Amino acid sequence: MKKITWTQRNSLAQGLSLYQKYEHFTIPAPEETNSCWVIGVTGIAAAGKSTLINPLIKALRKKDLTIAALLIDPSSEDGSALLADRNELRDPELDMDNSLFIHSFATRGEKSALTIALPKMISFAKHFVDIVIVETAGAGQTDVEIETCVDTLLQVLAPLGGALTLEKSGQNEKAHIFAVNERESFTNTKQFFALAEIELGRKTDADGWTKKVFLVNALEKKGIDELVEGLWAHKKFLENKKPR
Amino acid sequence: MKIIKPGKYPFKAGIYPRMYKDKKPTVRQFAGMGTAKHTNARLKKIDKFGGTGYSIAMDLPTLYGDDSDAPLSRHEVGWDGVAIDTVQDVDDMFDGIAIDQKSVSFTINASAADFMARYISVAEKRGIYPSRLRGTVQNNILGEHYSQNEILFPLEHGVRLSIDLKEFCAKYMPNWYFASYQGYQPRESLCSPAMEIALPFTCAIADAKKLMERGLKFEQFAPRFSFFFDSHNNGMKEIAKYRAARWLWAEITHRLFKMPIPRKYDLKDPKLQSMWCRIHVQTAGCTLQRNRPSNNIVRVSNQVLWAILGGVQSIHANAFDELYCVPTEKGVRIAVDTQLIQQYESGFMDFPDAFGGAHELETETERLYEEAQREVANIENIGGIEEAIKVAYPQKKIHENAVKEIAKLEKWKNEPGKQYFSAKDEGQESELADITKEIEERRGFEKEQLERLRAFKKDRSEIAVQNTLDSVKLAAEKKENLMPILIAAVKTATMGENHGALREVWGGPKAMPLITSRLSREATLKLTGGYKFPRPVRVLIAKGGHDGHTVGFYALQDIFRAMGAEVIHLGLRTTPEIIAKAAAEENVDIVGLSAMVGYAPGFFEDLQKCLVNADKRPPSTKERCPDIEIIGGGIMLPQDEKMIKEKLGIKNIYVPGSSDFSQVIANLKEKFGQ
Repeated sequence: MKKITWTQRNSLAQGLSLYQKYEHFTIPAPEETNSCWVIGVTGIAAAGKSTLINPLIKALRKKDLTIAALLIDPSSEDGSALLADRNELRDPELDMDNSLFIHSFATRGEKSALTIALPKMISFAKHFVDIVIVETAGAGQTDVEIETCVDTLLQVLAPLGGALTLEKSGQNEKAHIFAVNERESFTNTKQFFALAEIELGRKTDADGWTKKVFLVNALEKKGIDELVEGLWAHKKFLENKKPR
Repeated sequence: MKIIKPGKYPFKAGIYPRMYKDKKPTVRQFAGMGTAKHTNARLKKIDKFGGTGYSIAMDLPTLYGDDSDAPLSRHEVGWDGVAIDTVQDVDDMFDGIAIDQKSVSFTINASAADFMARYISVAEKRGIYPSRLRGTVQNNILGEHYSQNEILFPLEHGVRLSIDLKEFCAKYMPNWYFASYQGYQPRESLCSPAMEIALPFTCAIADAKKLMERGLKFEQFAPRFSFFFDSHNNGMKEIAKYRAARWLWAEITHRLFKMPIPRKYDLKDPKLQSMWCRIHVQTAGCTLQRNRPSNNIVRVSNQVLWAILGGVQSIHANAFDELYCVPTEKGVRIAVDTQLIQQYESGFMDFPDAFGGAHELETETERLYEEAQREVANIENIGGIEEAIKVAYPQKKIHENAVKEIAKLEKWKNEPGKQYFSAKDEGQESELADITKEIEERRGFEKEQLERLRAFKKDRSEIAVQNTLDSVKLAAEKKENLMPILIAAVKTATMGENHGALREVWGGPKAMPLITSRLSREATLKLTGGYKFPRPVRVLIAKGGHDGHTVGFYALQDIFRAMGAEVIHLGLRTTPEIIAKAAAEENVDIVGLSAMVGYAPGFFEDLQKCLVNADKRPPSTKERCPDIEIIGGGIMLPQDEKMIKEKLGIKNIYVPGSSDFSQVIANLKEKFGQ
């Protein structure tokens, strides 16, 4: 089984801290690796991003690939922050998984700083693992423009609102994959999913990728395998596109 | 005001007409420590002291359904209760004790079904039918979700398991009280007395509905419900509480479950018995004081008297040294004697509901009855206790009241004349000497129990174990009652293996909710002295071991946030290895660990070792980067605190009630700068 060694773990963690601390920090890095796959996960506050990441990581780990998860949460006005996403990833399967690396970030109020640093952090992390997953609160919470530094962008949607809401939400065009997160408290998930498929799915991006929408239940871990298949499909698509 | 005699609906004055003249309250003392053998010896001693029933406490790994050799069980085995891994453990615990002649109470919830399967299996082996067993099992998983967090599965599966056990008992164990609904734990977490009544009642209502869905009639199981309340300091309010509870429960059974108001009182009539709120009381652990522990003897004695005046059916008096984990032998003896003295010398046993009719008591009873009734209605309107737990209603109500109570207590303690509560004196060291000696012995329990477990595992066939666990998994996927499968399974499988199999099918519990601590803003500021970190300091906070008490954990979270830190929340049930991995990945400056039950220096020593192991940086960098600072808190003996500070060199240890938090702040200032 592939592992992230303790030395790699420590270097990666400290590198990430330095990037966040010093806006213009750079490490002379070896050439860009092609093999690492960067997945971005966005969605509004209560959409269920962190709940979904847990089964998502488990499903991705089945292929014996190393993963670095970078979790971004907003800082409070007083400068402190409660970074709770890591707690959502607590799981007997993941707790001591040596192929998994998790780092939590606070936005530290300076939106631009993290925006400058994030692409560098991601390309730094790419040297250590096979997959980098970046979770960030979507538009409205932070201004991190995540779509520019990821290969595949997954957006988590709570089944709230109707066709108009879907049309209006700004990030929609940018995401490659959508996951409609079903929850007990929402009774109209099925209807919303149908609408989302019409409004968001089956549309073709400029590069020829046809957007996909999936129905998942993050809490009950339903629909995860299908979603992961969808993510892989996008990776394959990107690989085929690249000139060899 | 109409005076209602004991034994008459709505049983405000007592459930039996002659009360203690016919049946004295059971003197039920907690026992359970170390391995089955140690507990066996303690049980036999309780007989000798004059106890009339057993109440068995399990250690944390058992309450969480884990085996003693699980990574999380380190430093906890046999610590605050008996360690149960195998059916052999249960058998040895009752060695030489005729279990069909004794009433035994088991305080266990999440893993109750598995444990009872072991008890029933031991009885079978001894040729005793389950129908002849007498006793109580707490078995209220809903209560764990709103108070102690002792949970193993997602809510709905945990409820199913507990209903399976209840249904089994209702059908085959007519002498077994299979549900004791806890108001005690939420009250210890400082909820209001009305909530203390309302929460267990709503749990009982939820269970009753589920059991009726399974085809049972209310009167077939309700006579086996019992309720578990706290006995706090304020006598008048406590007596009123027991009266109000009986009144409200009788009314609920009448209105909601159509039990008729009796015309003739036939004490053997199950419909009449279904209306009785049977009460077990434990004196309030949260009122005990740490300094001058002997003062607690007086306090407990009062609380026992309130319970007697309140007409309860069974009493557990806390030992004066219970704050330091399981009571010592001397502690148990004094606690039993306290109960006996109140029974034989107070004279109140001959006057049921002695103060009934007194204006103040009746008014207070009525007020509490109405308030509790409103709370029950609130929870029922949300959709019952299960739904209420999902939206965190009871958790929030408990929390809100606790914030208020703590602020009140802080003020109270500092009023003139209250020095006795927090002062230390010379006698204290010698008072603690016995406790220290007994606690030292406990450190050997873990090794002994691991040996017992190894011996059991060596003697069985791996294929048999696999087959057994497969059968458990298969049954868990279906809907039928799990008890018969478990009773068969416990002969080969350990407790941890059974629960592991169930978890494979059902999944584990949900992550702990994020709430703020009970500290008010002012209290937090007082602790930090207004200090703020000069840079964004990163802190990882975690709770070690199985224990689910979260008070200290949330307090750490709020204190660090007040200082402007970025707090990474790792949650409950972490091993030192998990903490070290997270600390390395998050590149934190501080690790905050809260450890409550078990051998505290062990937790911190392991953590320190793991942090060093995780730090594989070249030595040159190590010097430049500061080491990770450990900040610890928890309940521990003075010499353990000293050992952690001196031997391990961890300066920042905070023990509520004994150490000074400003020292920790001073250390942080020195390290991180003004």
